[in-house]
Amino acid sequence: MPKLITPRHAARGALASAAALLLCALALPFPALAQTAAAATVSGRVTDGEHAAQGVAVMLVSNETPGRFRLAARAKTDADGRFLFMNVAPGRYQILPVAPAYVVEGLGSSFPPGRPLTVNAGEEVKDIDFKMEPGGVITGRVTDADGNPVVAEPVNVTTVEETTPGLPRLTFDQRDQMTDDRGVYRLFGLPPGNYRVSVGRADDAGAVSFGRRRLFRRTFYPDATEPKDARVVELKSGLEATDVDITIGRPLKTYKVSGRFLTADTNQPVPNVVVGYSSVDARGRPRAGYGSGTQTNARGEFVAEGLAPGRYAVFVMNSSFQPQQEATDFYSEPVLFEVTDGDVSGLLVKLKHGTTVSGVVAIEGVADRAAAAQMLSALRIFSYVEGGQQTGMGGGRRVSVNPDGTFRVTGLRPGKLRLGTLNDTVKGLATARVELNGADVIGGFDIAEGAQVTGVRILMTYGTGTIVGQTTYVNGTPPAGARVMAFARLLNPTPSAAASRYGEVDGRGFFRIEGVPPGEYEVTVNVMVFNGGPVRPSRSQPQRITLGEGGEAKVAPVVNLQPQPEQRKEP
Amino acid sequence: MSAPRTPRVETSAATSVKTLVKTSFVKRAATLLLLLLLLAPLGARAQAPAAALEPRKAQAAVPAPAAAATPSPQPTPAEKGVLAGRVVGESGEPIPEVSVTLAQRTAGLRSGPSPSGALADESGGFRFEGLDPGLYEVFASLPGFVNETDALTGRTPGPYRPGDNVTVRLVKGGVVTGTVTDSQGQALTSLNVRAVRVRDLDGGQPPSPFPATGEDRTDDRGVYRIYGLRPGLYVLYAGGYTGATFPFAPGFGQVATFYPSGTRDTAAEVPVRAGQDVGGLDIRMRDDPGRRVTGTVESPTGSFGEMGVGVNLMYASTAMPAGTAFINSNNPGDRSFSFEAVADGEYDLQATVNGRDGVTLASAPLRVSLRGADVTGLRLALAPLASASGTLRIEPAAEPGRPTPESCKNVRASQLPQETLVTASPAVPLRATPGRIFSRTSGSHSVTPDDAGAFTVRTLEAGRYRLDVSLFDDALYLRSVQTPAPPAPPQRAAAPTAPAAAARDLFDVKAGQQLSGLSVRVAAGAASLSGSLSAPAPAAGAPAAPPPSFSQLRVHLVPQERERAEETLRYYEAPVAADGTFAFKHLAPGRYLVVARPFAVEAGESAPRPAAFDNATRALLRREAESANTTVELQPCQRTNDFVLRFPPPTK
Repeated sequence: MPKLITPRHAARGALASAAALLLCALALPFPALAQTAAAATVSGRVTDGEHAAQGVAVMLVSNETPGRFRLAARAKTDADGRFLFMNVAPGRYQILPVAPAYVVEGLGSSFPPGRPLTVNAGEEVKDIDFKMEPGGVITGRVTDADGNPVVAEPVNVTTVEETTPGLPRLTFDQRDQMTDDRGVYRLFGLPPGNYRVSVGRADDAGAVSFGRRRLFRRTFYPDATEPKDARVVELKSGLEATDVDITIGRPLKTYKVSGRFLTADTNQPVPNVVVGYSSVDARGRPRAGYGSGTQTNARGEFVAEGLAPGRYAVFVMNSSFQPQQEATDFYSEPVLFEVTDGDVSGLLVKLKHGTTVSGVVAIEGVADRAAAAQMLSALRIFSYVEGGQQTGMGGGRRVSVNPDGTFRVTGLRPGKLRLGTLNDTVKGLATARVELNGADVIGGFDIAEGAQVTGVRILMTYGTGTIVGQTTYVNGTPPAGARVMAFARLLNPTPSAAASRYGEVDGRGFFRIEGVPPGEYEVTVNVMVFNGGPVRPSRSQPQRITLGEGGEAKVAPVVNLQPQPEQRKEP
Repeated sequence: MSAPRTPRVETSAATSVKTLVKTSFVKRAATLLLLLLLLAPLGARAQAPAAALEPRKAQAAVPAPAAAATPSPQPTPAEKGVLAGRVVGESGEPIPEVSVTLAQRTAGLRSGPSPSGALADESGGFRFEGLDPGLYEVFASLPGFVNETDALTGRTPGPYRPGDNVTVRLVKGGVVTGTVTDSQGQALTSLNVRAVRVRDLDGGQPPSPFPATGEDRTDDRGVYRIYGLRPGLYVLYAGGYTGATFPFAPGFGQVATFYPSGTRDTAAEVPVRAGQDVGGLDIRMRDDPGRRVTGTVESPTGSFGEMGVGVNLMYASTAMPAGTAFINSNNPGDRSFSFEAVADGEYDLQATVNGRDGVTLASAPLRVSLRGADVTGLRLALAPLASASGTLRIEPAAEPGRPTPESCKNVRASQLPQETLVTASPAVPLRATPGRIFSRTSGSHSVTPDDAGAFTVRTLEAGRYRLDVSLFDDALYLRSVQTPAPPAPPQRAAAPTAPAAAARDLFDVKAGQQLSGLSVRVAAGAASLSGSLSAPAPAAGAPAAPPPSFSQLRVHLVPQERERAEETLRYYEAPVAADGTFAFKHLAPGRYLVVARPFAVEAGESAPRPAAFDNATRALLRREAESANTTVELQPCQRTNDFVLRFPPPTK
């Protein structure tokens, strides 16, 4: 019998000992009991291709509402590499072995981590197998010009073939890539390949010394500042490259930057707004990454320290990530400047009042006003002004919705505005339509500088129905790394692409789309392959279903994986 | 009158980063990031040097740490608004290019300006300019190093006032290292290991519910290495991601296992000294799957704050954090929390809501006993916390209408109430109060008054408090504290001039009450007294007595006049260094009895409680002092050095 840890929500019920049953049952919410009746099992095996991998933790993570994850159960593989979860409630999960020192085939750096798995009531899910191989290790020591250890400095690896930095494995914690107090680093779980190893910042961009960090010019193993001079580390499967020592130069000298924030129209100083800044790319555009620091003082002045030579932009921070009470209704164009070998002073940032957009969210299909108010309070509105890298510069922000459905977004720069809803918690709630004075503007609408836009209406639908499907593939199976999604597109009562619901299809072809409002739908399954870029998806023939209130419909789409020249474009 | 305000320039946007965002993440990752950002203030708070958070125990007579930094008592006008100093190493050598952070002590947790940063120059020098009058903490950050703490108080030096000359000494932090394996001895990878400082090296109680911690993750061989630790006694644990919201971390769902292989209550305490490398601290994980603890948070007032609700799980025995769950305040549909894989044992659970001025709402701590089964359906009700406000006034040395005492003619005293620190301390140890538990809200009861002397201490749970006042100008002493409604007045029809019982210096706050009308009077003309203990030479022919352990003693000043016996603020006490020296500052002029006696630190306290606030101890102290009968008279502004106190006192 393999060692196992049963899913907690299910374990509360049936199989526990009599004493535990009594204890648990007292604390039980009723839905959990109901789930137990239909509980399923999930099993599989973890190998290195040939041999069993023993003692590997396997996690089953519930993904009932999009964006919300909960550990449903955790098991360890036995001597034969097998794992078993009993009493699994039906639902959508991510399943994954947790073996950061290994390379798990097909998982890569997908998000959410793991393999999607749809579990149906009472099902016996078998052969959820994972293959993994020991990852390689690169280790060494980083020292400065005087031979002192460089402490707490992140070490980067890039493959020679790709320039994209980052480890091709699950890395949630940069500490795994940092040097310790001796300057020693150890990167593990690397797939075989040819790597360049570096520390420090690329010098084509500005860099800001965030507080305690010293900045170093990017230096490749062993002491090269240019990628072409880097010594390439050839890493074979599961082997360890040692003494990959890097010697770096002195910390970069950093400089001070100061200036003032003034209103564009009256040249009045603007106190107490948050100063945003960013480095600037080769084409003169602020990069996506940005920082924000202190506020302007009573005279509208700001000072920033710790800037390494490079090109930067400074602007008034106006972003979706700021708490609402700190948000300003000003926005500004980024003011570009360059730090070369001295402090920069006298920067002037001109602030303009942004556009205000207000409206109301309405939910169809929820008669109870209190229930609707609760759903509305859980929503946020996102706003996005087209134009690329404008985050933090008036390019949109997130606001919450009042219980009566009203909302108000301030501080938007002029341009084409798109509005939508964010909902991580209420299952079955989705946006169907965005209207401005009755016209459909889900694709966006133009806002003028400083305007006051009212009359936006966001219509959402709510449902409790379920579409359960099993996909069949002909002429092959989806290739490794393919993403398979099922879409249910509303045809009746109101045809709407926006009101589509979707769900991930698991490796067995199963899917489960929950929270679907009543109506007539067209269900398709798309197999999407990303191979350096998206490849045209293979698509099933659409199936029509009609779903009643809270009902369940079954579909069995067939995907022909032979390339089909006649395929329609995905809307 | 307050000094003219110098306009403040935020000296660095770069070094006080609130936000660092990459927009290239996929949407869900961005959502996660948002969550992290929301949590950032909490995390940052937990990681900040502990001294910035602890209410400084304000025993007026204890030498203010600032004094060690040779403050110029009266900054010259040119020096106004400047804090300058040097970063040095263990042997005083300058340490260049170190990042130095300046944080102003303010009336709330977050209402002050963001901390400023500067980079020390080639000779370790740094300088902050344009500072308003006030109290400032200064820290230097160098990975692997820690700011040296004072041997006597265990705290980093400071706070400082503009004009002070600051020396920040960096010493190499301690290192702990070892391997984490599962119960079969197999190495575990990417498992979080945390070292939590639970006591001083000499075994004193932890000063804070936000203990200093260090963290690492095990590598592919199961090896961890945590460096940059402050000296102290540490417990180490692996696993225990009890309240995380993103359950994909490798250790998620693994019950916290304490070095060597136990629970919090069986954890070994590891001494870590500055610069020491402690190896072989191998942790073998227990197979315990742990229990779930779930529940919901309610708010009868309807407020859940804007920053979200933190639900804190603490080990009941030590108040050490065992996990934090976070509830988004924007989601009325879901106020539930869940802790996974919690080991059996006793815990306290408390929900807190952070506002701009600290914790604004908190639930009463709930005791949770885990005994082999999940605990679900818990309910935590948020209630507003109380506050107490009042005014601090600084008065001249002379009584109204009297001339300045001759001895004070050349002494000038600070007139800046914002350069004092007012602390509300529980009158009785929290843990000793039935129904009260040491809780998460106890960490932030210290405030600086504004330039008009107004102060508000927030985050108070219902209970009885005393007001401590820390002074940083040697010329000042605490003259009186008046409370609007003295609790339990033991009116014994005394003479009108006779002070009431000690209870007059205490005050009660009810749950959610906004108490006002506290009045603190600080006066110029303080005296000081320093000296050392002297052990009597053994009598000829008598066996030599073991040398007394001076550091287990405190020296007390007791007002000599019988009619002042109840005036708790006229009692002073000071710790004794290992070499027998002691020092008092901020003393009210007058005649005192001087006596040394051993002290005890109660469970749940970070320092001995002032003896004078306990009626029995005060009476005992007085009897001992009268029996020893060593006296000293202190004139206004008098500096008495080299005072020798016989210990034990000569028997008559």
